[in-house]
Amino acid sequence: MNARVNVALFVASAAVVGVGMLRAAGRLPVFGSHLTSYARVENAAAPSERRTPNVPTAITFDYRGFDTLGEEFILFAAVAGAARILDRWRERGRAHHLIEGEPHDVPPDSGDAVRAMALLFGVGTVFLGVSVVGHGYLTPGSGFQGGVVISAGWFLIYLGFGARPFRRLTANEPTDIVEAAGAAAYVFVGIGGILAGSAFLANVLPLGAYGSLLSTGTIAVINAAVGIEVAAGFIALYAHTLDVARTERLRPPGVRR
Amino acid sequence: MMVLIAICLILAAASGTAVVLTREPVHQTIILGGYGLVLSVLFLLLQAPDVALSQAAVGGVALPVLILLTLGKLWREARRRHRRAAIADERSHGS
Repeated sequence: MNARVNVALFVASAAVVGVGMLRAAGRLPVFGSHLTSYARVENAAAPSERRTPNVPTAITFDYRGFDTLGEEFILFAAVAGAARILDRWRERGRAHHLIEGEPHDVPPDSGDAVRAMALLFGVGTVFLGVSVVGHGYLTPGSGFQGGVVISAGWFLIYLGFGARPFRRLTANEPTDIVEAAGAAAYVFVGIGGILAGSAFLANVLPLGAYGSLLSTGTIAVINAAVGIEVAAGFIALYAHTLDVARTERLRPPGVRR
Repeated sequence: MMVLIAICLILAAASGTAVVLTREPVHQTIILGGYGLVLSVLFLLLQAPDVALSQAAVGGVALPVLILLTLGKLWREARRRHRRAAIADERSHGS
């Protein structure tokens, strides 16, 4: 098929799909006018039952907490799988070494200004992320969002200082332990629900006052656990990918001579 | 509000098209970051700040980092193979 047939085919199908979408969009209710029954129930229940103004967080960590457990382990398994695959580049004995001092490793003109700005913004971003995680059930954002922001701030250290200081701050063992601890904490909170005589992941801790940091029972604990796990998981991902980019191999894994 | 949402949707369509039409990988990564930013603003306008935060963090940091590190690795491998082939060429022609 040559290019003109392709373009003609695209224009024809785009016209059909476009007309259909415009007609469908015309029949949509005005944005925000039609609340589903579930939305109405949640808006009424979450602030009063769970003492949290952040209804999505209450849904993800309490009402649908089991689904979020599965999602968190998707992230956990993805990072573990990627780390395993990327580690094969470093495992095979003699034929590899880390490249030091190449232009790729440290930004060429990394002067004091770059390092100062990286430190300022990196630490600031980490604090912003900790704030997003800590206020997860009070303000928008929760464990996941705050965790990604923390990992982004941490990665700024690499951009300013180079790979070796960054890898010293994110050694494989501690990062993996922290990530696993965050994932395990979620499960243990769930088991705590069973031990307290209720269901798995039931909210059994005292609920506290609406709008204060000590509120919402288990949501606060799960929120912190998810924040830690996501931050450590993303940092591990960056660290392993960075290692592969820095490693010289004479032969890629799986190729036999 | 609806006008803002409409404008943001049009911007999302435009930046999505821009991502597809950019051919150079590094440039495409930057444009992808811009597209992620437009999506984040769209989610904020649609009153989903949690999703907007996720999109901003992942689309602005995680995705470009992974793409650029992989590109760097691929180019280094290509450069090394190129250099090795050039040296092998020299040896076979010089002898």
